[in-house]
Amino acid sequence: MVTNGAALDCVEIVNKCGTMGGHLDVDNVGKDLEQFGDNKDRLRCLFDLVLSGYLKEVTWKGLFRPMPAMLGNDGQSLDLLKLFLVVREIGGYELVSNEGLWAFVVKELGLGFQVLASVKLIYAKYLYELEKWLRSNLEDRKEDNACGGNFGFLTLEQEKDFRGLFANRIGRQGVVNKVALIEYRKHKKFIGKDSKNGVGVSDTNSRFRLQDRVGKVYGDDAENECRKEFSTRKRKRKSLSEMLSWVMLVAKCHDDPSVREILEPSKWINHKGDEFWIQAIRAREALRQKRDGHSVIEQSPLQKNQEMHPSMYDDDFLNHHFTEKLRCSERLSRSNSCSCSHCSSGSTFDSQLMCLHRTHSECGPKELSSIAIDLSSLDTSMTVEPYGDDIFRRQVAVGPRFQAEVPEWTGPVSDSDSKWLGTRQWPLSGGEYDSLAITDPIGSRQPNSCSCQIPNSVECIRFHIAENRMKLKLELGSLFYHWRFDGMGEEVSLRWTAEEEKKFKHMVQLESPSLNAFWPRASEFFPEKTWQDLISYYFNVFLIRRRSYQNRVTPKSIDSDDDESEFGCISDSFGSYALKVPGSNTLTCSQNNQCIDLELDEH
Amino acid sequence: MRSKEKISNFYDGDVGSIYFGPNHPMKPHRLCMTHHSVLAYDLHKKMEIYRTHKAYPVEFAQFHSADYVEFLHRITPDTLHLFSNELAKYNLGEDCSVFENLFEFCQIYAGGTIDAARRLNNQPCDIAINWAGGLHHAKKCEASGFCYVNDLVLGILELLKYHARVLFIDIDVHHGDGVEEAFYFTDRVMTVSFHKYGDMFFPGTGDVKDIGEREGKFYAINVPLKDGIDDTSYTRLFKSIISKVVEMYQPGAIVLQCGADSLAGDRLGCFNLSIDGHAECVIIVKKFNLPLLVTGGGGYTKENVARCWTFETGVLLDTELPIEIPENEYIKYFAPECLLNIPNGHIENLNSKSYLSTIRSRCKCWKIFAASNMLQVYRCKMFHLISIFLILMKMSKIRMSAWTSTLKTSKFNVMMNTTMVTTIMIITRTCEGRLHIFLLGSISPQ
Repeated sequence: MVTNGAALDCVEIVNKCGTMGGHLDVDNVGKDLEQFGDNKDRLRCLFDLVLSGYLKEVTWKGLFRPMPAMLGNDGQSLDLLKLFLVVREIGGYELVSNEGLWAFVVKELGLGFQVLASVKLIYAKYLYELEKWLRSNLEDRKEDNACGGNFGFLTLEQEKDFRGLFANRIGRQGVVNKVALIEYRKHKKFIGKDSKNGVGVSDTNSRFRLQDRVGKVYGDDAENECRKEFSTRKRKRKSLSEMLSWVMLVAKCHDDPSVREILEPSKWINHKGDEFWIQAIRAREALRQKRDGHSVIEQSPLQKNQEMHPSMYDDDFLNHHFTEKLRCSERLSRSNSCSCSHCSSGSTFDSQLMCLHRTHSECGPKELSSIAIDLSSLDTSMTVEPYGDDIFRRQVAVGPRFQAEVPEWTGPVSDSDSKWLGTRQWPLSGGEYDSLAITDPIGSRQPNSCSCQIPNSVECIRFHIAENRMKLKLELGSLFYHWRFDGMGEEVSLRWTAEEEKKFKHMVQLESPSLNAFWPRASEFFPEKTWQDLISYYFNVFLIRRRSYQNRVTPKSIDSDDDESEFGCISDSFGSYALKVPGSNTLTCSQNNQCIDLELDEH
Repeated sequence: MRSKEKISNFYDGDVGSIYFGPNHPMKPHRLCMTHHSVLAYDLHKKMEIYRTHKAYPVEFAQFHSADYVEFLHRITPDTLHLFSNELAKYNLGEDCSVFENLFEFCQIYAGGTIDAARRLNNQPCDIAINWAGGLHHAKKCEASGFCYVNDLVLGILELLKYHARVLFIDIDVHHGDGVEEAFYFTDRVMTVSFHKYGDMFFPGTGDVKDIGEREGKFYAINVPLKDGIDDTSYTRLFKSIISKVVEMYQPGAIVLQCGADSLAGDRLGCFNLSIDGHAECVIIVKKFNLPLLVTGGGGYTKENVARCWTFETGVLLDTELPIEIPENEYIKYFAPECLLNIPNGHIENLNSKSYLSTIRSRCKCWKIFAASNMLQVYRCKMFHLISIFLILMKMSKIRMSAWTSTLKTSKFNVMMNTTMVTTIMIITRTCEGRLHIFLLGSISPQ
């Protein structure tokens, strides 16, 4: 099962990591290959692995073979696998050349005769060496006759498996080709060329078996390696965004020189570097694993909704998280304050991890089996670990320490403690309630009816505030005090002496920009004030004054919730002064005072 | 249809003196401002206002673990240094600072939600409002994200005494993880949360894939959104999902958490909602005419919170408020314009149309499951199944596309709804252990 998976993955690797660009023109695959059905892709993958590995070696020797292979100048790509298969089928490059069967090959490929020379050239350049190489390797193998050489990784069982699989496959293909070939040869004979029959299909089979094995070794080990590497380096994802952009680049221009590096799967095993391609392969691997783990969901989308494949989310998630990864995990991160927000992201992360593991160990396997995803595809040796972006996905914790106990529904419960329904405070009961006050329409701010000398001036607004306050007081009666309306607004300052206000402001300024140092010691500074008094003063007087200053000076950038900003701009006597002596002159003065105040504070 | 809703509001003047500590974005003073604006608009004349009872520790223990409640009760800023292990264990001290009157604060806001739920149960009112409540992050055994006691869970547990099913809707910008987690295993509470998800945004949960487990499977819906969602797309998404949920789930009561940090310009939020857009969600929920418990929640730009909740109080009272805020003690907080609306947000909307439609259809997908999950499960033999199928085929048009399964199966279940919509689903298990779920189609009564 694993081997099968590995092989299929190779297809994905090859496809996804960019080599797919042109030379694997799947649409052009001929009918002979289509007979392979499911195995087609697998075969193609193996072929690609072998070819690329081989070409790499050739490149190393100094011969450069660009991929994908192009035909002539029109940029038509050539299906190398098919070409290789057809030529193998006939009996190899030499045979085809000697017999002049290139026209047949071209025809088999579904191409025009004008590219005959190019096809022959490409075969000579790309595949002839490979053909020879494979043949010689096969010879070596025969001599060795042991599990050594290049294929030592393969167990005998797997080898057998592949032999069987491949013999069957090639056999089927061979029949078709042979018929065509015989036809063609007859035709050739008729023309006058002598034919040299003799290369059996069995020979081809064995070679393919070999090729398959090579590919398998590469694929399997690469996969294992990827998995291993990924599991030990879960947290190391420095250049993932770069990796993603690289993948995009590869997808766009597959013929970029860097792409070719992927084509050396045999080196994956020993690869220690951190190049993008290996990252991409690992990421892909991780995603695949994740998908296995989450096939709960994968299975669920209804048939009609299959276009929304969950992998969409995976990609999305990956992008989103990895590119902007370190925005800090805790909630205060967006506020510009740090003093109270030293929530260690480390511990959060750890607990997150623990939570993940717990979830997986507690409910994971059970859940999986109850959902019964395709269990046979999950190898038991494969641990379903939270790979990839799962590490960023916090899962819901489950267990008796997390869920509420919800009783079964057995009908309405008669509640004995109906006394706790709250105490009605409004509307007032009994004689306290004065209905006279309720005559105004909702939201009774009527600017036009204002009888003040200068409507909307500071003192006009102040007057209306006081007016409304009195009205509310009348209306609410004792409730006014219950709701602490007596402790709201700037009137709070009336309970403070000018001296105390000055002291408060001074203390806050002293500890500015951070109030951290002030509040714990506040009650020391004001022993006669309660904590509530201080809070009330802070919100009802101090902040409002700062706010009203901001309203005038910096109306564009107001942030009343920003505790950090400078407090230097508050007049020390504005509030009580203005409340006690209303009048336009004094108000102007107090405004001026503020500005002066500000300047003074800045110096 | 009731002639006139009775609306109860819960408020305790003591919340004004609660201070989380310097530089802490959570400021209970916003509740004073809200209450003040509500009164300035004379909205109190249209509703009843209650003082909440201070909830007892034993009431907290309905959900929270006894040790945690006991610790909350015991801890004060002066004794902090003695309990560093416990603080770490209960996640206190950082986001969830320990301040004066912490326990009293919990008692007030949780008491408010519990009272509200009880009033709804006893039916002296149709809508209950507790702006102080809605602290949806608190967990069973620990505090989280400025939340200590999960009043919503306590309120829902209270509602569950009278209602078979309760729907919880959360429009806070943060995921309602505490409530979802508490009711993750039960089908008696359906949780729907609209929230920002991704970029390590707090609390990190709320993937669209989290759908509940065991009996609660499919009874948690998460709508993960990205930065900068605007009114139009948000309300459309909200309406389509919530109306479907209410239709399918048929809850006895709804709990709506109106966190105001999903508004534009919030200190911690990142959405572009206007107050109108936010309140539109309240209107949508109100229109179902079910017992409704409305709570506050997040919201870290005080004056916007006060504006929003005042406006929504007006909405719940069917009262249109003039846009100028009447003069009151806190008018300077609303200066310079002193208007009830807030400036538009300028965060780029990262929610593409295709993203939203995928989210929408995915959420709908869960709902179909959720509905069918409630249904009776029939075990039947193959020929029964085929005959049922054929009968249904005659009755109404059924999508045939799903009927492409491998019928080499021995065991399968058919789920059928007998109430509103008949959804036919076949669950088969193949010999390899693979589970196939097929939705055959649904038939509405018409």
